[in-house]
Amino acid sequence: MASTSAVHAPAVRPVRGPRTAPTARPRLTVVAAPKTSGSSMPFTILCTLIVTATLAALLYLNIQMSDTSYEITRLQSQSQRLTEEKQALVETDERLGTPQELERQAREIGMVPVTDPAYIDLDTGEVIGETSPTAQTEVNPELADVPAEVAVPPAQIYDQPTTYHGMGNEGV
Amino acid sequence: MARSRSTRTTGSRRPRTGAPMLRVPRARVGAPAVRHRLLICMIMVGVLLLSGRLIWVQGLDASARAQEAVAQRTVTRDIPALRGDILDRNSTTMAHSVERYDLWVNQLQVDQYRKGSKDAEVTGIDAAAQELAPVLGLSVSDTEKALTGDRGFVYLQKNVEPKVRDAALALKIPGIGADRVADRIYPAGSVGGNILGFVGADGSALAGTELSFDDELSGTDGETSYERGAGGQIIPTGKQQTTPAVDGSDLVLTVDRDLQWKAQQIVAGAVDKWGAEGGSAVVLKPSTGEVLAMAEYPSYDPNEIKQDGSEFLGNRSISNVFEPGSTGKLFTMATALEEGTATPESEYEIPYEMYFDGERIKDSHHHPDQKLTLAGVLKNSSNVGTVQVSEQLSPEVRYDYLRAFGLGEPTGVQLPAESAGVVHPAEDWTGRTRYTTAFGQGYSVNALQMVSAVGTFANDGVRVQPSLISGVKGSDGTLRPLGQPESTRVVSSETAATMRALMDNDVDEDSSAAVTGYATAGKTGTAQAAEGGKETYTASFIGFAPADDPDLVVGVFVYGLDTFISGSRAAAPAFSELTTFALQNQGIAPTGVAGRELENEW
Repeated sequence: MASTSAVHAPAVRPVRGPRTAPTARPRLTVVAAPKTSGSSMPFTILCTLIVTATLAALLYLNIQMSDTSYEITRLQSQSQRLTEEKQALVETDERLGTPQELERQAREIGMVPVTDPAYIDLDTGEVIGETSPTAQTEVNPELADVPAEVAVPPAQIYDQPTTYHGMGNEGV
Repeated sequence: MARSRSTRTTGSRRPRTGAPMLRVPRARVGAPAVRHRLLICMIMVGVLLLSGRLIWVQGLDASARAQEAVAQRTVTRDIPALRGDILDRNSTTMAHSVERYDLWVNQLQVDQYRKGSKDAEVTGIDAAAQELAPVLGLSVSDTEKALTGDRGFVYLQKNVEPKVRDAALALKIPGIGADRVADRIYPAGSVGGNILGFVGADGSALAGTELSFDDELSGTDGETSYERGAGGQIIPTGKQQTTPAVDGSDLVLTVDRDLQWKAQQIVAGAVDKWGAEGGSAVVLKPSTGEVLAMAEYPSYDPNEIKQDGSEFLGNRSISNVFEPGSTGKLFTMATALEEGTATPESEYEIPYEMYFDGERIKDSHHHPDQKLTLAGVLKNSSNVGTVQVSEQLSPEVRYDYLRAFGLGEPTGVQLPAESAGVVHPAEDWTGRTRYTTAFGQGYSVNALQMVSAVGTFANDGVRVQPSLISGVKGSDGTLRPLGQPESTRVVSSETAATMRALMDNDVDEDSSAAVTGYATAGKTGTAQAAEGGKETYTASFIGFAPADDPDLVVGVFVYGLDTFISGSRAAAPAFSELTTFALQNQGIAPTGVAGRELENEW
């Protein structure tokens, strides 16, 4: 619109009128070739390139972002899985470390509580207290021999289904 | 527009229309201007319509529609704050929050299982039950029962571990899902359960330390909202908002888990031996007031609270008040020593029974007249002798000392359901009470108060308020103590030393309370208690070791004995066992100083 109005601008016309009036106007004259500013092709190509490049960059960025987003989701679920794995290991560790379990295992391999410990003073090398090889200590007759499962029962969280033999990674 | 039209009409065609010499019939030319205008108009209408719609959508209706779209793809998730752990004095976990899942089923969808499969022999609920049963650890018929029905939502199994959930969901049975929940586990079960307390199914604290320190343990839930695509992935350009959850702080107890376990075992042995109703044991570090163990029997497993009310869910050590009995004689002796009205060598003539202002006071066992020193009065646990000692003191002074020893006031361990016991003011000590208060009757105490009070002698006359909590562990691992325990000087250092000697003299090397290799000090106590119209007895033994330089005060209490069983039979053996273990557990070497023996008679 802007270029058409510049070429056909009516404002030019009043100037042409008075000029043709004094001399007879020749029917045909040789006019100089209009001075063109050269082809507009390079400019068009440049514009197209800019637009294409912008679009391509935009597309690339978007692809990158959604790729990263999928990656985040994947890593998050991996992190979740690892957290659960760690939790399961911590729980096993805690179960094996309870006093009830330690005592049970110690007794299984034939250990008994020590009743007469001796101490060594590290400064003097002196042995404090008298100790002797521990016999299979009998239970204090003044105290009832309450079975361990009754006196201090183990936690009631570890009676997990024993029939389940999966590796725990079936959901992966 | 107008301008371009005028340009056209004044264009190259005008000269031609004005040429008269051409007789050629006018060619049928269309009206380009009209056509042009028509086209423009149509475009105009089109553009107008589009802009109108644009303004409508973008301008007038924009916010509502945009909101609708955002709401469709925005999800909000709660980030549950993890409850802090409870640790023992060696940072061993005693209470711990873990992730669990509630498995649920939509029974209406299960029969679609393997419907499309050609090579499956069984399909539907039968197949699902067969596959699912081993995963859940249930029988096939039970599983089938759980899957059959017309309910849209039924819990299959609650609080399952993540690996069970993964295995269950991996079967891809239609209608089965899982919800994430937080569960509280207590790895060592009933060890320290009475101290820890427990939380309800919804995670709210219901008892014990969990309840008392709920503010420190519970965190603040966070929230995250984000826009997500069809695959659940976060839309990167979308709006994201996250308020992080603030996890609860870890609480560090003064308790040693191993010692607590052993104490519970030993108390169980004592209670079972004598058919008592229950028992408790306390191990206290007198110099700091730290409670190393506070055991109960019977107790409970906080992982699995029985709903039928058959379990005792408290701490007898602080909630069960009883008359201390003979252990109360220690306070009378200490008062007399401190006030200067007696020395260990003071001489008393002790008949089996004696009348004081018309009140008959007698000893527990018949004996001929004795000539005992103060040390002998304590060793023989003579009521008559103790009243003689107390009669040299005014009731007001004795009352003040009892209160100074911490009796009749809360211990300060901040557990729920504590009962402070009752020590009536001296002006109410009328008639018999004036005399019975000398030997631990006529006022009531709880077990922890007694252990803490006896700890005064072990700590050179300064009573340190007992505490169960070391502090709160910050995120950087540093321990922030929750206030300093109060300490009060009750008796002088000399009186405390004399009391230690008297209590040391009280325990012979061959007595049931003796600890092999260590000089041991202590005092038995037995008192009657009226419980629901039934007469029962409370037997106790409170003592410390090594007697010359005590590091630990240990008290064992056996409640609800049907018949009179003295503290030296019911409680002292347990005291000996527990003290032996506690000294080992805390690495306290024998001092090599032999037990002291004082002159008991004159």
